[in-house]
Amino acid sequence: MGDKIVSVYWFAILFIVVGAVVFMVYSFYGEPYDVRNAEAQKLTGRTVECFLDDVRLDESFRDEGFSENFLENCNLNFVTEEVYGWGNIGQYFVSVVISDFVSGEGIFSHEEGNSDLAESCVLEGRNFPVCFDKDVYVLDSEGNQYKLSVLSVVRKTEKNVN
Amino acid sequence: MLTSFFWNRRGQIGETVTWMVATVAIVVILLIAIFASSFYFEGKNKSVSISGEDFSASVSFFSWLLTEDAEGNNVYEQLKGEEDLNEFNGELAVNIFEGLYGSDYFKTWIGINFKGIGFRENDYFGGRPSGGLWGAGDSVSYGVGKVPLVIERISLNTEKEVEMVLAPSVTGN
Repeated sequence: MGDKIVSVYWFAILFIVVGAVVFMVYSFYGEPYDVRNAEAQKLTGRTVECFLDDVRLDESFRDEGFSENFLENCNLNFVTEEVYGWGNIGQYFVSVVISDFVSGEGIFSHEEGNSDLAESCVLEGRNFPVCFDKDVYVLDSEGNQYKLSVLSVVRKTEKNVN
Repeated sequence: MLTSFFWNRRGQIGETVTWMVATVAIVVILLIAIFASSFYFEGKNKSVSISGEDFSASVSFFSWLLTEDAEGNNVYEQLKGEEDLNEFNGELAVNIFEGLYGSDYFKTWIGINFKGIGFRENDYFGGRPSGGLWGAGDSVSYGVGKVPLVIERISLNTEKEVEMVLAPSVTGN
């Protein structure tokens, strides 16, 4: 009789320990990894690459129709999965500005994607879209100095934040 | 017989008390572990970002080396022929790297690394974020662990190389 009671006790202890371990593992691994920062960094890098011919400024942005076919010209794809209503709201935004490095005079400007996302760049918090901006000092083939500024914004909050 | 029964009862009661105390101890230890792990992981951002490289800064570094002065000599040729940064390429480097990346990084540094001697302080960026000799010093310590530096090196000749070093803040760049 005593042995049976002790067995029940050990099973109870086993379940308590297992429950605690499951809770601790879930509390860490249950939260998704937020990859939006890495995605925004990559998007910025790919956009910068699009405007470069080796390390010189690629002048093809001056061509007619470049801005209209920006995504195709830069090999970018803003299509997302048809979940959480993402099909109706764009999840990406990219802004490109090229200006003279010395005078600051604007040479080229283009925006692609959901421009509403850029408004959240001044806000702080995990539930807002992630913004990543970079400036690049670049020369054209004649040695003229330019500043290439790229801003990338990625939303996808539902899949990256609990 | 009566004495034997009495001692058996006392033994069983003693064993039960031991297990009750052990149960309370196990539950308390588990609760401490759960609260400690919850407290530790709370606010820990499981955010993935790319560290140790900066494509934009690397492009700026190569463009800086290709920039020509009024005589048509580019910065790379100037650095090959001179001991350190001069007024033209030093001020241009400050404008580019402090101007474009100063707010992104804890410290930016451009300078010359001499083989066998090490990194030399210069008038425009001061000392390198992390010291060391040729090919060394690829991370910096802020007292809370080592953070990888963003480094780009270009060899000028067998004796020296020009280096760009960007030291991220502890929270990332």
